[in-house]
Amino acid sequence: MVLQLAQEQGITLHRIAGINSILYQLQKYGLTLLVTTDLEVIKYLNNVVEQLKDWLYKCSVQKLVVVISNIESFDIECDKTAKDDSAPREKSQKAIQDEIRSVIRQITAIVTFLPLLEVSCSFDLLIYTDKDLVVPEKWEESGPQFITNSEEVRLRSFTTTIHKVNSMVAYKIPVND
Amino acid sequence: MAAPEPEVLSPAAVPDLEWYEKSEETDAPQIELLETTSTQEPPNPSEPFCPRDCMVPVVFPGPVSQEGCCRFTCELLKHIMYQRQQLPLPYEQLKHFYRKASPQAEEVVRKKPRAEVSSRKCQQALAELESVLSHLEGFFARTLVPRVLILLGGSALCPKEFYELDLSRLAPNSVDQSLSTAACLRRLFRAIFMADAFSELQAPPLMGTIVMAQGHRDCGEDWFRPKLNYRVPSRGHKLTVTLSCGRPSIQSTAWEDYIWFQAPVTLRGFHE
Repeated sequence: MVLQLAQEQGITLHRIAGINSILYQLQKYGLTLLVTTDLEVIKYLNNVVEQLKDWLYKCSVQKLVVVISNIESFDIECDKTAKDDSAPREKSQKAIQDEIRSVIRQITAIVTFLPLLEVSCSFDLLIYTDKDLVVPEKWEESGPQFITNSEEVRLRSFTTTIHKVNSMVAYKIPVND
Repeated sequence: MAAPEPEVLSPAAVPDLEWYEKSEETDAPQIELLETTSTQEPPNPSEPFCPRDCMVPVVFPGPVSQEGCCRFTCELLKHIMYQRQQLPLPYEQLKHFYRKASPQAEEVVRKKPRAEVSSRKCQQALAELESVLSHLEGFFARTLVPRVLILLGGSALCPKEFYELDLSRLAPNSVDQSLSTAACLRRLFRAIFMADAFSELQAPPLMGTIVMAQGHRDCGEDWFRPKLNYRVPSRGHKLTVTLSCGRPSIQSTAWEDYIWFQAPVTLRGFHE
């Protein structure tokens, strides 16, 4: 099932990158990341993340898709037996953070060859969940998003004790490339 | 005594090159990661051939301009410094964040001494890097540049790691016939990405970054310093990106009058 947060108006990337937005640096995973202070974007992302956390904990999430003109998707494999096992699974926080940092760096590297977005774009977050999930309030079912004449690039994956996350970027091949 | 007239191969024209028309495929061949040593001769046959850790050939479907070659070099330098964690953010983001005169940003800096130190370090790093980038533009305007080295850590002779950009197979071309530089950059960085050259999980320490570039010995360069006896290091090689455009490359003998020049500034990155 594909779900997205229902919203009356799209949040444009122009708002995020607008001159009135200030991007603060945040240290996480040993990396400096820029985060938005646009209140509407923060509110939107908080809503998504809160629900996502709940679904991840229940191992109900299969994929997270960020749709702009490009599509970035994260395939999430969840080991549902993890909660049943009595033996604790071993993976250090540092190891997980190292892997996440590596993926984040790859995402930054991807920007070097993605086509330039010359117009304002809106973005959406789609979450693929188990079929039998009850659709929460403020969420709605959606269809998949595909790009015609696209190219796909796979990034590295990272694993926790329960989840394995594979990531991929699909983008429309520019006409002059 | 008057100085001899320099015989410089200007970027605009190279004598005695035979061009032949060859139909180019619209789609470039698949970019392959070669994990074995290169079978092609280096531009300067007198330099020892070194085993390669990672080689990435990139074939452009047409000619590129000298300005394009300069952009490839500058973008690769910025990319390596970020990917090897000598800069906390990509160069353009650093410039945007630290140069933006916003009241809120200044407020943050005023309240946090650590942030002020970080801001100073960033300003210095940016200034040094901008200086090198600016002088690279001047260098590329003076002379053909067949090879560029970006060396991290240690010294120019014995770095901890180094990256090479081989431009010797790109025959120079007049600007109006060249491919779009932006499209070439996308092709270049996609190839580097696919080669997964920056996959180490362990964060490297802060290191000095030295830029070296080959140019004609009589090009009149006065900022980059000539290093007549410089040899490409035999240890620490991480990546060679070889660019070509499907046309016949310049004969290796044409590079005999080309020597290494070193940037007089060692770039110092910073961590947040």
